[in-house]
Amino acid sequence: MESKVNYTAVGLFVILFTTALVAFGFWLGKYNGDTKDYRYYKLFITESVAGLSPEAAVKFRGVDVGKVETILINPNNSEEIELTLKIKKETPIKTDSYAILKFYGITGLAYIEIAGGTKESPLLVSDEHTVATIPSSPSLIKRLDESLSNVASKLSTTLDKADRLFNDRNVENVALTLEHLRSLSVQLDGYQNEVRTLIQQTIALENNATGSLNSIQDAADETKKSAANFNNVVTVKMGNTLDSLEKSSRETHALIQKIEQTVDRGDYDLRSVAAPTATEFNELIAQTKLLSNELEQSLNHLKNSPSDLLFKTSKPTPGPGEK
Amino acid sequence: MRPPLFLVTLTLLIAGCSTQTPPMNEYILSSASLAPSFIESAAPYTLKMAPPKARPSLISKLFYYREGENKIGSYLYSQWVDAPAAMLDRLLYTSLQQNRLFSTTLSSGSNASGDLVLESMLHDFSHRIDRSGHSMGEIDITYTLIDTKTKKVIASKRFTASSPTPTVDAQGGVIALDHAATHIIEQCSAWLHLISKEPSWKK
Repeated sequence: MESKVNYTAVGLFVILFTTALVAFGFWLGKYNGDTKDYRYYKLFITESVAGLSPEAAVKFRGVDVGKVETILINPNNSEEIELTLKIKKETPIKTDSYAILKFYGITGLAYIEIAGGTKESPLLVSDEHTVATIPSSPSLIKRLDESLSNVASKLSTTLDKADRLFNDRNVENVALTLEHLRSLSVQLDGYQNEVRTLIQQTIALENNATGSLNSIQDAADETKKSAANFNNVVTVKMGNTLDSLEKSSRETHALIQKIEQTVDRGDYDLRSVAAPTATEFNELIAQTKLLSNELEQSLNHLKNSPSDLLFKTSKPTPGPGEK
Repeated sequence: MRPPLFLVTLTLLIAGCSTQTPPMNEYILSSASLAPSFIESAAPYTLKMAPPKARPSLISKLFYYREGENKIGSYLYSQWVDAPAAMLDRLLYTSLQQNRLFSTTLSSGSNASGDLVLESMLHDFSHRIDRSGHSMGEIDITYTLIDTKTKKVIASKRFTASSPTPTVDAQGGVIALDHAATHIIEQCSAWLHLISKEPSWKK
């Protein structure tokens, strides 16, 4: 049996296969002309991007919206990693959106998560001429790392302080204080009976005070009544007394007027009466002084020479120029 | 026995009275040497002179003299007519009245009261004779001016003056003390004039 080759079918197959192969090659080479459907954004991260590779996914709130285009070390700042993200055009990247480095479970593979971005915020515009930069936020690992570092540092400080607090001396002091508290507690137990008695006495005192207050209130009522009676008596009696007083005042006024007239006349001017006498008296005293002085001198003379009284025997010393 | 005893006593007393002594000379400070001052206007106050005060031994008419530093004696036959403090007081009163230093000057015996009172305290008024035979008349006195209303002292000053005697006897002492007194009165008048012009104590 002679096989008949259908060259037409073979040729058609070759053409179709070659066309498919070229199309696959274009698809594989990403010459699919989708550049118009994506926008490019820059992202600068200071932490390690281990596990993140080009073509890694970019997710917006968990939805795949693009991929990492390139990963470079920022030529202007060696502490930063510069990522170029290729994100679908319709993705609402806002000015307050930020990017976080996240990991798939325990595999160690990483992706970029775009979070944040409120509804009211304007879009972060990125076009062919200007590439916008999405702010980055520390990843969970970094935050955990920083938190753990802080916790460890604080724990270390706390332990140091605790070590100082619980030194031997303080422990002894605390033990001593507890011993004193125990002793105080024992003493307070002993005072329970006295405290009970004191409370009972206080209750009794309160009862007495209540009784006394009632008595005082009664007394106050009585005083109020007495005051009312006194007021009536005073009103009546004082009226008469004031009349008498007014009469006495008038008489006293007349008497004072008479005395004033007498005084004005100089009948009782003691100064004018006494002044001449005082002056005379002063002169008399001065003369008396003189006299008593001379008398004293004479007596002294007689005392020194008593015989002079009868015979004048002594010879007093004459003064200069006297014989 | 009694009549003879009485007669003897009487005889002795009469004999005592028969003793003869030289006559006593009495002296007074003279105001003749006081020179009149020319005060442009009298101070508008009444000055009253307080009764003069003196050291106890100077409240006497005796004329004292001092020999050397410590010996004090009195002349037997010479004395002052009045106590030295009273004589000085009268002399100052005369001077103040003559010179019209104040609108009115009242003596210590006046019944009226003045705006100011002048008190005096005499410390020394004696005839001093030193060892070399020279003698001086010396006066030492303090005057104090007092405001009558407030009873506060306005001013107080101590004045001393001495003058040589022409002869070393009572007569010379009187002349020297007369000169010294004149000097004291002049000093006091000048001081009072100055005080009366000062505004510090005036109201």
